[in-house]
Amino acid sequence: MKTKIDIFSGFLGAGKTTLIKKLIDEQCYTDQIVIIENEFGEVGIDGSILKKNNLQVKEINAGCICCTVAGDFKKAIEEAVKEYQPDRILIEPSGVGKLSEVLQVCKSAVLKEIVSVNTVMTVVDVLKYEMYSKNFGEFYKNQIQYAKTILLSRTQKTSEEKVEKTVEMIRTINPKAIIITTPWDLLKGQRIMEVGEDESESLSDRVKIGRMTLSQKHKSLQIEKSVHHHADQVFETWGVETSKHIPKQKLESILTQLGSEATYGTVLRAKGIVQTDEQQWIQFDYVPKEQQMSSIEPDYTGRICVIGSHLQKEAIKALFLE
Amino acid sequence: MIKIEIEIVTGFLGSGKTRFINTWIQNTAVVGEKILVLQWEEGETAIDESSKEGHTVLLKTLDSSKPLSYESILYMLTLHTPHRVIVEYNGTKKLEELWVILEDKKISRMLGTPTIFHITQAFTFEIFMMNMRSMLEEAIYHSDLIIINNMGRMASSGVENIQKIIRQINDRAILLKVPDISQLENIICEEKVIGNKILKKCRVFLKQVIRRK
Repeated sequence: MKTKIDIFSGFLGAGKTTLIKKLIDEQCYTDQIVIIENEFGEVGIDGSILKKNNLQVKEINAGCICCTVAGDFKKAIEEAVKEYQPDRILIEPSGVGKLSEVLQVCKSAVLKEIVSVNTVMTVVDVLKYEMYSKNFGEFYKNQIQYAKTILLSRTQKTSEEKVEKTVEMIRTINPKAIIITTPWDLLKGQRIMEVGEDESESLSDRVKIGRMTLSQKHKSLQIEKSVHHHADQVFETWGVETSKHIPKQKLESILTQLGSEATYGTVLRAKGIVQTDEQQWIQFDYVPKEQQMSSIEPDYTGRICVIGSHLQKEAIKALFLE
Repeated sequence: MIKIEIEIVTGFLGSGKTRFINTWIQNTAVVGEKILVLQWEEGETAIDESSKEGHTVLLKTLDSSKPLSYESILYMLTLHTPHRVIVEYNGTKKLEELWVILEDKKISRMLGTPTIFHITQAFTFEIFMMNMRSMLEEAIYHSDLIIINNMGRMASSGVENIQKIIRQINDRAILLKVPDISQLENIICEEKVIGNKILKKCRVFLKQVIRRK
């Protein structure tokens, strides 16, 4: 078995070590682990945690970006594998380095035989994103561009609007990554790992509104006898990931309005998870004239998916998000 | 031809560069002086463009996502013909980028020898040096005046350590310790940095030139 690699990228002070500590504390890692640190942060992973969890830490010279990434990194990974045969290596690269270079090293001829990249997360301080992205060189953008998962830190310290705005700005650089917007205290480490390992390409996969739903709709269409085409050609999906809070009552009213064909098209199903206030999250499921809601545990961000035909996507978006 | 004086202010984002520039201008500007500020970093503080001392401050911002452009710097110098240009330098860029431009014949004929400033926050100094030494070392090495900002929040041993590290890189610069950013102005005046011999020559000369006009 190849050693799995989990990369935790992000600028100095973003919260990389805090995140790693959270994951360790919450027993997300049960396998044998080595941590490779190329940065000295203000938060350290203290000895007792390491001992209790049977972890090894390897530090490589921080500060020099160019030589560290290419040479020392490769060496450190090789040595770690040889010395400890870990199931997993956590890498905390330099905050001023390029994530693409770390990835390149992991995929180099020698290393790809012994390791495989599992998660690629970049931690972004929501309070500093705008300022940093405006002033920092290429490395900052690079860390966002190449991330598979982006975790916003300190979202509890700012407004809902600021979080939304930051997500929007990040999306322009990396439209594909999953962005975690929920404050870390409310989110289980296990969930963060699941999101990090999520390989689903589309939002509808992540809302789990996939195949099962289509067949149901197929039925409903047959009953209506209004559409003669093959189902696959007819259905459209609209989806969004959002950190916006939608109070329960408002959500009920939105779902009721969704029945208006003239305004929104023929909505056959809507499903999603949204945050309703600071602490509460709701899962909803809608089919015409019927809606269900239930409380669920906080998730990484809210997401809404609508399936139907002739969907008026702009109107639907405005209905949910404005 | 009278050379345009050039001052380069370096330091990482959030160290207090803009605040320093505002204070510096207020305390060194002379009546009639035209100062061009080239800002290559956009922080939380704004450059004070008011001209209550009878001087003029022209602010031009340079896009931090792009390299410095020789043409635009030459153009701005020619167009505005300032007495002094202050460059607020991006903390993540190498000074090398500016040297190349300043060494160009046309530009070097217009400009005097640069005076270089470096501002650092005391409480982030060590962690920054540990993790991005390569970005900071060059600026510290070249600086004539180094300001350790907000050192009041540090234990005295911490301040000593910072001093030691700086001195290893640069042992000739004037080192100013500012307990709190609000005291920056007092300290600059008290320590008579303005009148210090490195800086004095050019400032006094400039004053005379302007008066003569």
